[in-house]
Amino acid sequence: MISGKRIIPSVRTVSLAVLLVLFCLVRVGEAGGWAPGWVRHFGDDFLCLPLLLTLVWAAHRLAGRPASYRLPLKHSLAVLVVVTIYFEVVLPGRDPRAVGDPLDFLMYLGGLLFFHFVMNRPGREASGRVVVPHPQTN
Amino acid sequence: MDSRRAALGPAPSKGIPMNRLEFRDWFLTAAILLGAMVLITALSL
Repeated sequence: MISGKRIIPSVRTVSLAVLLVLFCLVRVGEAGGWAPGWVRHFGDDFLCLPLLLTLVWAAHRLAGRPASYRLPLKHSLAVLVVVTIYFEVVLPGRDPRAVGDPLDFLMYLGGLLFFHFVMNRPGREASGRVVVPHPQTN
Repeated sequence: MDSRRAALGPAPSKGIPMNRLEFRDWFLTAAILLGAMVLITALSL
């Protein structure tokens, strides 16, 4: 403890870490064949939007947006529409290995809502790290 | 007037206009989305 302050990870950071661990588990489970069917079918679809929108948010931040920046809902909705059309309509029509499933849209939507209401919170709490004063010890 | 102007200091920079900021944000969103779709398609199919 150098500065006498504690650093608490933000909701966004913790959520991102949990999502990345879940994503790795889903991929390993799919490769190993031990993941349940619903995880194989919907795990990637639910995790796709929060991870993708976090990347978009990070790009906006790197381009100069402030730490309190909140990704506008119109960007999230545009990503949802494009991802749904591409992965559920265009790709299944061009490649027989891809499967279009209407339920996938609900998973994308669930991921978007998770990002918007849990990870995409305004203020310092969602912007990276929160520094709080360390309690005085006499 | 000149002395008042000098006391105020230089005029503040206007920075990037809002519509150009919006365009930059949309460009970044589209670039990330396009890159992710290409990557996912290449890796999973």
